[in-house]
Amino acid sequence: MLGLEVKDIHSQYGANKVLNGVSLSVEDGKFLTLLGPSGCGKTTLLRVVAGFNQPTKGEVYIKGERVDLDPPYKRDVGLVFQNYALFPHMTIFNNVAYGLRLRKLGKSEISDRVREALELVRLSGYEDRLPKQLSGGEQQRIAMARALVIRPRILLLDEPLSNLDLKLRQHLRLEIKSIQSKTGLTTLYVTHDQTEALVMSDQVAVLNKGVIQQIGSPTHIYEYPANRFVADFVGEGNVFEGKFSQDGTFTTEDGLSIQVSEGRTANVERGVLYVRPEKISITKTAKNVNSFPGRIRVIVYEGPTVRYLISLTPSREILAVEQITELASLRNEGDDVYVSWSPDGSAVVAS
Amino acid sequence: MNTSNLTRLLGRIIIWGTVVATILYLWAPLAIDLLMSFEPGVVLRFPITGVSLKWYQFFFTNPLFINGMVVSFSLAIVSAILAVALAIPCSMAFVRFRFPGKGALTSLFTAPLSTPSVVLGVALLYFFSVINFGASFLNLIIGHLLLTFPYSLRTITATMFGFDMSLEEASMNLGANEIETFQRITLPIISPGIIASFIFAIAVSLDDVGMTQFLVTASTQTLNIALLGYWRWVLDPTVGAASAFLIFVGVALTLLAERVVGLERFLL
Amino acid sequence: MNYLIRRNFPLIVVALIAIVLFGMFFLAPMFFLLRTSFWKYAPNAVGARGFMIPAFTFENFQRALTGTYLDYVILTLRVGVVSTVAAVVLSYPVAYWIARWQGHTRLKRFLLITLIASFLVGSMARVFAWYSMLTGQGFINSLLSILGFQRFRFIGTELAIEICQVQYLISVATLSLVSPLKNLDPKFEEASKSLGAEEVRTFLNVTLPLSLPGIVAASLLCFAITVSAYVTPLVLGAGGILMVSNLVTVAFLQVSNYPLGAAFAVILLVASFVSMYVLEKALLSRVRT
Repeated sequence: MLGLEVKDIHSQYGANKVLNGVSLSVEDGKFLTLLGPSGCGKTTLLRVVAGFNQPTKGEVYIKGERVDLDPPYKRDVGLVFQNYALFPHMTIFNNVAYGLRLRKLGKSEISDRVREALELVRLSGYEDRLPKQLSGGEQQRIAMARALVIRPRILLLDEPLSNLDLKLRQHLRLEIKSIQSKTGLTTLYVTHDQTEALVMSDQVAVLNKGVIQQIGSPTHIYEYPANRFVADFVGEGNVFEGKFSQDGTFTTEDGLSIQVSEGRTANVERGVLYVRPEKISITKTAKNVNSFPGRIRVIVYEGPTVRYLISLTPSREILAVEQITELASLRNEGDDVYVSWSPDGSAVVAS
Repeated sequence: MNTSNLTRLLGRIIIWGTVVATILYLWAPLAIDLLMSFEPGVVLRFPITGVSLKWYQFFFTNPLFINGMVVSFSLAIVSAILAVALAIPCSMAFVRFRFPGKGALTSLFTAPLSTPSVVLGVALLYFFSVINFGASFLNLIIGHLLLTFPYSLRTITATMFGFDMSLEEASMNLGANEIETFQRITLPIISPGIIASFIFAIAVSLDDVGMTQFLVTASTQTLNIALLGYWRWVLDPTVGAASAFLIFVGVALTLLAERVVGLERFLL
Repeated sequence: MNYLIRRNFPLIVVALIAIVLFGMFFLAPMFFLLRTSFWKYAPNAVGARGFMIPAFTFENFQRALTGTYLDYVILTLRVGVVSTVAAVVLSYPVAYWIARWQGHTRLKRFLLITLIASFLVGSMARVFAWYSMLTGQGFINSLLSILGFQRFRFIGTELAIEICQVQYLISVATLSLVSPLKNLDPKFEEASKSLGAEEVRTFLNVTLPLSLPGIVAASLLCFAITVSAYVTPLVLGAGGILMVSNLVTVAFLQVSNYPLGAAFAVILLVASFVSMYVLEKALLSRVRT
């Protein structure tokens, strides 16, 4: 059964078309992330599902029931806001109990469920505190508790981690994912952070300018991006424009001839070839295939990895990323090297 | 002591001096007036020749002033309630929606603030006579509504600007409809602002003379008008007692406002 | 769009009511007032509406701006300027203290309560309090007499009005100066000092100019408030001093010369409006460069 389905959603703000015929579906219990840059329409789509945006066209179905004509308070969805939106004039207990009280549950049941929800987010004992006494991360977890305690049909999260610092984000990502698995809720997650998307999701939908670019599993999207936008946005890449010919060679505009394996090309003649930086190896001597001479221009140490900018020609620079090794520490800026990658390591997509 | 230290010292003296002088300048007249209201004699004088409550007695038992108090307070409360009741939806509309003419409408609604109340008074007086509008107390209410509404609108709009809309969305998402959301979430959070604007509206209405003088009749004299009328003929310490009473009301309103709204936002 | 209207229907209805009320009871009366100021005063004419005849004449304004009346108008402006200058000069250091000096929280709180109380106490209490202070046997004169000076007749002078007004204006000016002074980024002063300017120079060259928009705004507000004063000149002027608001009352209620009263009202309105809107735009745009 489909936990969530949206069909052909169009949404407009004034003259601005924010969503242009978006359709997707999430299987029951699965986690789908809407990924895209600012302004791509991902938050708007989330708000359409929640009921705060009226689409000009299209339908929304939650667990098979049509909801797009219902007001937000009838939809029974759990929503976690980017700024948490905890009611400042209520204690944590009352915040979490708010939805339950509206559903007219009994006092003891409410208090049991609130306790359970706080345990789930590992903040038991916080019942009598006020939101302003909590840290950002704690507020975020309470926001989750409040959304989960009403046992919604689906869960929506709108960039819940973007106001937190890196370590907290990394930690909470896993917590959110674990809570989601435990509760088995169909989840729609919105973010612009591709690491988050890749780490947490069962499926990722990449959006740009109101149109879905690709939907697939994280690995699939990373390894087989459908077009240049996805290739660029998800992960980093070195991008070459050029022409692909049937014998398996891609000729770039600056004249490089690159071998590409069969499974790694889209059916295009004019396209874009990209190589992920981690697939590039740096050697002193040329290798058999796909090996080009260049000079190391910049070396940047990033903790566990090292980043190189290598110029092949004055107008063409390659980004390569390596794990830190002893070999890496012997390299210097200005060295002459060869960059190479296997035909499997690159792919051609439509531009 | 070099020039730099000298100027710094001078600066500090100027600032502290002004602060102390200001506190004195603001409180002294009120305190001394209070003191002089206990004068038993018939002429206002300092130092006072005794301590007596007789002028207070006179003030509080005189039907002229009692009637005045009733009129003034009921007028103030009614116009404040109306002003706030109108201002809440208007400011919600202003803050949440875009529509053409918003600027012009804002200017219209706040124009009475830059209009001297005497001008408002004559305009209304003449207008009411032209369209043959009777009913003195209603006239007063309309006039005072014009006075108080801009203040309420300004205060409540400022409060609404600071209000986080996502709180309302969270409430609706959790199952509350628009009305329930307003009752449980919006109202409690903006209530300090509402109370502050209410207090302000009452103070403005209680104080007005410029406009009120044109709209009163013999039976609907406000306290201020009655006092001024009295003072024209008799210069005795009654005005001391009356002003002491008004001071008390004003200070009470201030302390109430301070407790409800808190002055931290100025100190931050 | 329809969806939004549907959900917020009651809001829109009330907003519309407010607009109608304002149109009816503010715009219309003001228009009538303006019209009346151009009508002819005709106390004896037959068929006149009240004491006036519909016409279009400037004679009311001419009368209002000549002779004794003109003296009073000028007096009003003079009192306005003097009070404003005094109030702003006194308020600046206080506002500076509140906005830029650290600590002294309790004293600051007390001062703020004082300032707000000064508003909410009302003009009547204030005016009568000063009357008590300044009257022949009042506090100030008794003090003067003890110190060996002669008693001075304050009541009935411009000075009395200004003293009372400034006490009120200090609240207005201080509160309106606190925000701009607070928003002054301390980095500008720090930059000035790091470049070698000491306190006074920094203040004169950096702080003061940057706070000028705030000073202008506060001044215009004080001026508009002062020229509109009614009770203060009435009580403290004791019949000898009249400001334009009093002239409006006299014309309307005592002499029943509605057109003249309307003319004074329009003059007052213009002074107040000009002060608040036009000057603000003109001065602020020059000052902000």
